[in-house]
Formats: sequence, structure tokens, C-alpha cells
Amino acid sequence: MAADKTDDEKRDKSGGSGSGSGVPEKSDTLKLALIGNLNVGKSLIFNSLTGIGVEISNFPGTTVGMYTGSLVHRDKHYEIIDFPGVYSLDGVNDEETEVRKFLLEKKADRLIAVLDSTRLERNLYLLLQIAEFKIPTVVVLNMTDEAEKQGLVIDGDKLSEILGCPVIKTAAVEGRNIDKIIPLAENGAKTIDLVTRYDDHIEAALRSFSKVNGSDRLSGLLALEGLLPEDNELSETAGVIAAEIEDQHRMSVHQILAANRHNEAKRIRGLIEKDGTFKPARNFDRLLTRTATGVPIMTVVLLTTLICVFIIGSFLEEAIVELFETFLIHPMYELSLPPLAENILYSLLIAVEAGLGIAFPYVFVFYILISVLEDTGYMTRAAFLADRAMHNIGMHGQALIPMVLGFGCNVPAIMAIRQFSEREKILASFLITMVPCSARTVIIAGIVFTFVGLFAALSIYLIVFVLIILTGIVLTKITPGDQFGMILEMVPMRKPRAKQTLTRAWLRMKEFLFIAMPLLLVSSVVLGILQFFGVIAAFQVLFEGFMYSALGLPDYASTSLLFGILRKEMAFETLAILSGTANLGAVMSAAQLYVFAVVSVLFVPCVSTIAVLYRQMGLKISLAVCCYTLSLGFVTGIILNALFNIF
Amino acid sequence: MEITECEDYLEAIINNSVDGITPDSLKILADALNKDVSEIEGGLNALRDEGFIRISDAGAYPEIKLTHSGRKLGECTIKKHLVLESFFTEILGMDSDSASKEACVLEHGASPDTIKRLKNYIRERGARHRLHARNAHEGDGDDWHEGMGRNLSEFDEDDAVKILFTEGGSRRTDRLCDMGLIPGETITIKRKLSNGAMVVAIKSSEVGISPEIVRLVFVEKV
Repeated sequence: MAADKTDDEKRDKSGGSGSGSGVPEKSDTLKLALIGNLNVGKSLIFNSLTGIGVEISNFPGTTVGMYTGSLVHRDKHYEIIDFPGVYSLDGVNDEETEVRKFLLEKKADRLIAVLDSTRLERNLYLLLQIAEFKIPTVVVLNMTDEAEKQGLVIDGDKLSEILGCPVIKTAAVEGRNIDKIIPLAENGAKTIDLVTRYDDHIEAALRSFSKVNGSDRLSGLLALEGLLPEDNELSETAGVIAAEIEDQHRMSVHQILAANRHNEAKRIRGLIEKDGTFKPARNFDRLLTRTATGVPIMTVVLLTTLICVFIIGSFLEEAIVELFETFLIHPMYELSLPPLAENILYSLLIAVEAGLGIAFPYVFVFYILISVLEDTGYMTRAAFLADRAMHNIGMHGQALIPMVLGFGCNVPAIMAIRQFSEREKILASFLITMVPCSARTVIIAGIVFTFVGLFAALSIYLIVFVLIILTGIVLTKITPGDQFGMILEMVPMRKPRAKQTLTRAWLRMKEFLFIAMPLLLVSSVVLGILQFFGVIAAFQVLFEGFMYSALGLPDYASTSLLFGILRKEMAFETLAILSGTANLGAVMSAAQLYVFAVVSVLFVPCVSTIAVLYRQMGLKISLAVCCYTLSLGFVTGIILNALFNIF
Repeated sequence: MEITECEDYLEAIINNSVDGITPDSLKILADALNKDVSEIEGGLNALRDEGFIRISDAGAYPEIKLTHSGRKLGECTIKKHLVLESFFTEILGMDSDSASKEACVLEHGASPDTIKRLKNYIRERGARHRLHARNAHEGDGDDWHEGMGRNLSEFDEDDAVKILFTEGGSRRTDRLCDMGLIPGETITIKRKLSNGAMVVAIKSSEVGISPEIVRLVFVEKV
């Protein structure tokens, strides 16, 4: 299965770069793109259409991850792309920019516009913008089941008549009408006829652009909003006119267009929706978003999640490690292979063990629980409440989710920062990699709690938290970019569905496996080979002086720390092996154990985290994070050692 | 030719849509630049030598075409002129004639950044000013704060308010617009935390807004 996947990815990559260099795509593959607001059930439709066999690929030249899946329907091949959820196509954040670029380059043959029937007006607002891109479209009115429950009657035929493109009413959670989407997209999709009429000045400007520059309506609009490249002749003319219009209206062009579109959306809604009485469910919300009740509830929910993950995770991890030891590692030693081969094979096995030992137990369990919290809509409430606290370390309420995820495992936490602004991503990269994940908890528990004491163990957490907060405060001061406030849609409270939750968790899980696993394998083998040829031993000798004089640690501690980057607990396990006893208290002093634990908890994230960090943020930031945590670990260790020597 | 003079020429050419050297156009330019007709042709030649325009002898009269850099410089100057002029008339209350003359002098020295800031200032001031004028007209009292609408943060849970305008530059509030929080729209405050963060109901959905964004929204009670 893993081999399959790599082939797929290769194919995907070559296909992607092919399209970039102008080589025609396979003509029999139709590219369908799902587009819509956040939380409209897009991903669920995507999963229902493609099944589980989905690839996650960063399109060449994009920073935003888009899911792609392939599908065969009546012997025809389709490629389906799930765009990130957006609220508009003329914004400047990463998602909006990428989606706009994608549409402008006509990389999709058909659009499947997914609308939430219960929030029709705002969804139509996006649809009006989609219409301007003139790509054949099918409109999917999703969540009709919920609309019916609220007593909303929507005339789909009428909407189809107004837009001039097909409209299907679906309920993705029930699977209603999902099977009709693909045939309709293939044969019935039409470009939307409806043209939004804008303010007179805007229309006049558009007319003059088309006369003078021969530009179409869409480029004219984008130019007025300053969204076309600056060296373009149209942008220059438009810049001057836009300034004039903005002066006259005392509103930005974006605001003028938004107002026009909202009015048009309201008009259309009036034509197609009957008996629309919106009754927001307020029952839970009353408790969840109020400080007095919401904060305790949030604390309980998050702590319960953490504890569940920790208990279930450590139980499963132990089982997996046990299975590996009994059925793979011991038998392998019994084969008595040549030493080098044995060494490499062993390195491979422990890498797989490290990957699976973290991935399944912690990451998967965490993902399931977090997916439940997201699907119920609770997460947006918690994020709303947490906004103020998070603000002090330079982030929004939304950053709460990744920070909490980080306690389970830094890998999914880093993957979850995708939707943040560039500035927040940088801040989050540093802060999340410092959050003590479950593996680091094992070190603290296994070394300090067992051999030094409970308060010493807790004090390590305290040190880490203080350092996180300090780092956050300093980084907010020095990181470039503006700090924008939070504007967050409250997802309606919904009952989570097992299938939806599991597929979502599994998708993310796969992402983890394919990013982290190859790197784990490679680095483990490299370390194994280095050890075999005595490089590690030489390294140990090299650092012996530093280890002893600066940190007060025995020479083999450097090797343990080195192995700790594969999987953090390995620092602890290797230490036990190298010192020759599991009773570490007998060979090292309390101060030594404490310093060792602090250094290994703080210094350099594990290989899997570095891998996702690299994928998410690129080389520069990942290097910066590694260097920062490395120096932070050693400096803190040195200071502690000095303090222990004085007292 | 001095760059400031080039700017004046280009500005005049664009403003008057001059596309050829005819007796008429020379007269127009001479008037606009406050110069003698006889000087203008030499000035145009100098402009050509600087690479801002192209002059071609196609038909009865030579044709003038702006080059890329010429159009850019000219439009930039016009923009500066407009911004300065509206600053003088609307904020400082000068009459439009002297405002235009003053702008003609200052436009050459003002940096793009100054102009941008000035423009933002006029836009925000103007929005309040306009509301103030309107409310004063309706007899809502003369209090300045009354006039500029009240900040959303002054309202409480279950209040329904109408959005008048948002501050803080466009990109900051783009997302608010996309969510439907545009001037003229009515919203209901569903939740207000002690720090000022709010959940508001808008267009059948609810949106959480952090305090610093709440403070950018100005509203009036419905």
C-alpha cells in the first residue's frame, strides 16, 4: 500500500509540473473543483465522491494544501480538487489568493459550487463572484435536510433559471443526491449567466477598460481592487480610477463591490426562499460562549481530551512496541545477519516502530477526538473564548486548537496551522514545537517523576510554559506583518457523524504517515550506519568535554540526545541502555537527571515534526526553529547546571 | 527640462486628452500651463527627448503618444494633485481655486507615502464628517460623537444596530465585508464578553469578532 502511494504521488507530481510547463494534460481526465464557504459540507461531499483513496498534494507553486482525489465513473477518469473553504475570491489571504489564481489560470474544467441552504445569502455572495470567472458550474444546495428542519423552502428550479446553470439539492450527511453531481458536472455544467450590476462609477470604469485596454469584466474588477500584477498596464490605469472612485464614495472598491453583491444576493434569496425564518439554536451557546461557564467547560473538555489521548495512546503505544519487539526485532536478531545489514535492518524497524508507535496511538486518537469537537461546532466556541489569552502570545483564538493538539503530538499541531496568516504561522511554528508532547511527557515522567519527584517533574512543565510565553511575547515584537483581529464564523452546533469524523481523522492521519514516515526511515538508517562506523562514538568523544563541563552530564548523554530526535522517548530509552541500567537513579544524580530531562524536552523537535514543519513552512523557518530550540535547550541546561553547582 | 515641469506638461496632456500638435491643443496646453503658446512646442520636444512622449508625423498634424513612463508619471502626478486638492478643500476649507493652485506646487514634492497617508486620513475623516453633517441636519444634536455614530463596543447583548462605517483601512475589514457586515446592514449582538469580544448575528449566521475589530465598527441603534 505504501508503494502504491509513492507511485501515485510521483504521477501526481509529474502531472502537476507538466501542466505548469504547458504540456497538455491527458484529455480524457476532467478536472472538477469543489468550491464553497467554510463548513458547508464540502469535504464530506469530496469524501463521498472519491472514497478513501485521496491524495493530499500541494499544487506546484501553491502554499495552501489542496486535497485531490481521482475517480472513475462509467469508464471516464475524473480528478477532483477540494479547494480550501473561502468566503470570497477577492481577498488577500493565502487561501483566497490561491483559489483565485487557480481559477484565473483555468486549471479546473468544471466547478462544483457548494452552498449551505441554511445560510443562503452569504453563500450566494460567493457564488456571484464565482460566476464572474466564467467556468462551467454546477450549483449544489447542500444541507437541505437542515433547511427543512428549520422550515426553509428553497426553490431550486427558480435558482437554476436565475443563474442559467444546473442546481441540485443535496444532503451530504444522508448521501442524498450526491450521485447526481458527477454526471451533471460532466454534461450539464454551464457558465453562470447572471451578471451582478455594480455601482455606476464601477460600471463606467469597466466599460472604459474594455474600450481602452480591451480587458474583460473580470480583469477589470480585479484591477480596480488592485489584485492584478502591478506591472500590468490595466492595473495602472485602474489604480488611478479606483483612487478616484474611493475618494468619491469614501469606501474602498472592495466595500462597494461587497455591498453590491450582498444586495444582489439578498434579492436572489428573496426570489427563491419561502417562509424563511431563521431560528438559531441558542440552548448550548448560552453556556459555551459566556466566560463564567464557557471557560470551565473549555478547561474540562480540553483536559479530558488530553487525558483520554494520553491513556489510550500510551496503552496502544506499549502494545505496538511490544508487538514489534516480540515479533520483529527479536526474530531479526535470531537470524544473525551480517553486522552491517543487521544494523540497517534494526534502524529501519525502530523507525517504523517509532512512526507507528506515535502515529496510531496518539495522533489517530487525537484526531478522532478533535474531529468530534470540530464537527460538533464546539471548537469555534472555544476559539472565541480563548482569543484574549492567545492574543498575548501573538495569535488568535483559532490557534488554541493547534496548541492543544501539540500536547498530544506536535506533528498534527503543525499540520493544523495551515489556515493561519503568514505571521501567525511563523509564531505558531516556534511555539507549538515547544509544547511538551506526549513523548516528552514520557521523558519527564520516566526520568524526573520516577527518580527525582513529582514537584521536580511539574517544575519542568513550568519552565517550559514560561519559556513558551516569553518566546511568544518576544516573537510578537519581532515578527514582521500585521496582527489582525479575529473574525470567526460560529459553526452551527451539529451532531457529529461517525463516518464524517473517521474519514476526516483518517485523511489527516495519512498526511502524517506520508510526510513523517520516509524521513523517519532515512534518518534512522543514517544514524544506524553512523553508529556502525563509529561516527557516533567519535561524536560522543568530541562532545564529552562539553557535556561534562557545561551540562554536568556523562558522555553517553550526547548519544541519547541524538537518538531523541528520532522519537523523543528514545532519549530516555537510549540513556537507560547506554548507562547499562534502567535504574537511572543509581548512576546519575538528581541534578543530572533533571538537566538531562530539561535539555531533551526543549532541544530540537523530533524528525517527524521537522518534516511537517519543513513541508508547511519551508527550509528557512524549520532551520530557525531547530536552531532556536537547540540553543534554548542547551542554554537552559547550562544555566540549570550552573545553578545546581552553586547551591 | 526640470522634472517638475515635465510633470506639469504630462498632467496637462492627460487632463485635456491632448493627442496631437494642433493650434487648438497648443492653446489648451498654454492655458493649462500658464505659458505662452510659442513656448509649448519647444516644451513638447523637450518632453520627447526625456522619453515621456513620442511625436510622429503621420497626418496633417504631428501626433502625440505618451510612453509608458510618461503615462505613469503623469497619472501619478494627477493622483497627488487630486488628493492634495481635496485635503485643502474638504479638511482645511480652502476655496477650490486656490486649493488647485496650491496643489499644483506641492504635488511635485510630496512622496507617494505622504499622499497615501493623506488619502486615508481624508477618507476616514470624511466619513465621520459626512455622518456628522447628515445627523446635524436631521436635528440629532450637535455633539460630535453623536454625529460620527457610536462605536459597536458601546452596545450590549440583544441590541440591534445598523452599521454606519468601518475604520482601519480596507484590508483589515475585508473579511467583515465578506461576512456581510457592510454599511447599512443591521446586526444583533448575541454575546458580549468582558473584554469586549462579541458574537453578532448577521444574515442567518453568527460571527465571533475580537475586541480590536469591534472597535473599528461604527453603528447607530435601530
